[in-house]
Amino acid sequence: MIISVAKANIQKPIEEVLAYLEALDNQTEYNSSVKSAKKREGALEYEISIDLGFFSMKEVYRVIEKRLPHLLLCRCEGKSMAFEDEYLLESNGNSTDIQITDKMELKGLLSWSEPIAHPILKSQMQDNLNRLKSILESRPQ
Amino acid sequence: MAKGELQAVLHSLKIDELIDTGSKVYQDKNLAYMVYDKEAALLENPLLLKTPVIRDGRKATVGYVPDVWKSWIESSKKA
Repeated sequence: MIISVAKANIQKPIEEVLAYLEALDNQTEYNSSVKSAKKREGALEYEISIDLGFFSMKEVYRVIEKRLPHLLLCRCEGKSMAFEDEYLLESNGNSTDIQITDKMELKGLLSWSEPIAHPILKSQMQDNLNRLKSILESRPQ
Repeated sequence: MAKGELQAVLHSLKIDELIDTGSKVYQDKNLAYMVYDKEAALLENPLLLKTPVIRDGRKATVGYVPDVWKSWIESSKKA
């Protein structure tokens, strides 16, 4: 299991940050690994294609749990890889502290690549979060 | 889902509503034919949980119910 954590403070109210995050098709704008994301009708599920550099796949990314306005938990269960992303939000005045925790399980032969994958994923996650911060903060009030 | 979180959800929902009887875990473990501790099973097997579980304070839903979520947003705007 690879666990990566990234943190930031976003100068936007918590409701706005959560609203942007929970539309998971927005991931194509800030998550460099997500190449496409399409919402399924009648479900909080998205068909996504992911390219991590060392591995790519098409799977379903689901909202598992949401605790308004502080937590969003999403999971993707694939044959070769499963991951769970926890988005934890805390209001800090007019801004929002955000912590994203990614728990990734590589299965079968792919599990051998965990030592290589860990630093790549951690650095990608912080870059993605910085991009998210930049997108949200550049939006008009 | 953590134990405390599950118990908070159970203030609004019945435990049977949370069990995904169509899940692979449910089928593989033959849970339809067994007497088992449902709370323990949900804590041990996250894939047994029907999703999404959405909470707003003490209110909770399971499954896709956008009309209910919309009503929460509307009532929070009025408050």
